Amino acid sequence: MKRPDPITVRHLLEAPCLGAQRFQVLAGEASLDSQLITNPRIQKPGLALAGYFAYIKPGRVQIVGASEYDYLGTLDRAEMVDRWFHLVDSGIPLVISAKGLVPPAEVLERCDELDVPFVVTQSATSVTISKVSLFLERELAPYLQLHGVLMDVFSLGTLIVGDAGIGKSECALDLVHRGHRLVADDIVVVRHTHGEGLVGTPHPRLENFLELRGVGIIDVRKHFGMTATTPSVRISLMIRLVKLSDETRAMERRWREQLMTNPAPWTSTHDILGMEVPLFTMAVAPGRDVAIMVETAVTKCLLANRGVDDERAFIESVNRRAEGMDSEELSFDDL
Amino acid sequence: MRKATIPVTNKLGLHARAAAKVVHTANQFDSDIMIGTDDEEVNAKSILGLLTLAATRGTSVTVRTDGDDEDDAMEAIVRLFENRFGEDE
Repeated sequence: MKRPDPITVRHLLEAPCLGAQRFQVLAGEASLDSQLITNPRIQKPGLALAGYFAYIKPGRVQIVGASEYDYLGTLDRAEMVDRWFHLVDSGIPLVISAKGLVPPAEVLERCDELDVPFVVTQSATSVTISKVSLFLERELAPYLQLHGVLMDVFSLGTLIVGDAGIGKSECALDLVHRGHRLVADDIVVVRHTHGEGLVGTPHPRLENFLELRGVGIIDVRKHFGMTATTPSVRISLMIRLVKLSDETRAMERRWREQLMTNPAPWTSTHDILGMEVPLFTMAVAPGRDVAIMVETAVTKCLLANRGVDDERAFIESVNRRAEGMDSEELSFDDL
Repeated sequence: MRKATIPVTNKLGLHARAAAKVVHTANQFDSDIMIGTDDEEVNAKSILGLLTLAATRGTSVTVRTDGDDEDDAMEAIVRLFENRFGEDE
């Protein structure tokens, strides 16, 4: 697991997904490229402005709203300015003021002296908090690089793993042909964010590319059009492709027995960054169409998410019937 | 599992053709073979991942082999880097 590099304040202020916030820089313009945000979580410094500064963490974006300004309005002016000075001088990279609220001029001057950017947005505090938090989590959450293929199949992120040469990319191509979308081939970057769960994206240099042995490197977007790829997806299930062998046959037998005793939509799960993801292991063999099996595993997950459980009802009915047949046969014999 | 750090000594670094040779060599073995730099590790049997490394001359890569033929695999990969992927400089 790796921690991404800190991002600059400018990177946040100019992020396309935060464009609607229309940030206006009131102070510290010169330090937009040097101030670094290291922590994916924002802070509301209400308690700090009330005089308790212990929890102000360097590297965290501070967001102030109406409640902070209201409280500061109850103090006399010198004290209010002093609290602001204390906040902006505690190693923080950026202050965002919501609802168009602006602090006294001397606070902005102090920000200029300290090289701490101070920006204002007209948006509500809650909206600003959730948008900025989501952005920071995407940029700064720890991530993992996996070897595999990530597809968006019926809107569920489907991670396909297996040894090199087992047919992951071929399966991806087959799925693209059926109208599903490629997210990443070969390297899948996975982040665990609180807002979105497990999110997978391609390696920045490999976006839209797929390698097909025997054919070459394919730009999927050029071959199949812009709807054939998507830049990210939430990972909902994992498919492991394995060679058909005595070992996999034994595994399949074990799962079938497990399924008959304890019916469930999937027989195992896999831990990715602390999240349990349903895992389907499929043996690749002549005559097995992997893509259609992957599609079916995905629809199984979709049904399970909606509370529909294929096998439980079926297996329970078989068991009931078996019991009934037994007693019927007994009574028949008794006659 | 075997692990080794190998310097990249050829002029062009781990460029596209060199990466193709690494993939070709790696695929002759059953072991898992991973190659990495300071911040990322990729599967040596697959070209796209290797291309993202683009390690330059003077840097080092870390090679990890794991499996029944891990010793042979390591030797073959190390030899390929030492021979500068068959290039003159």
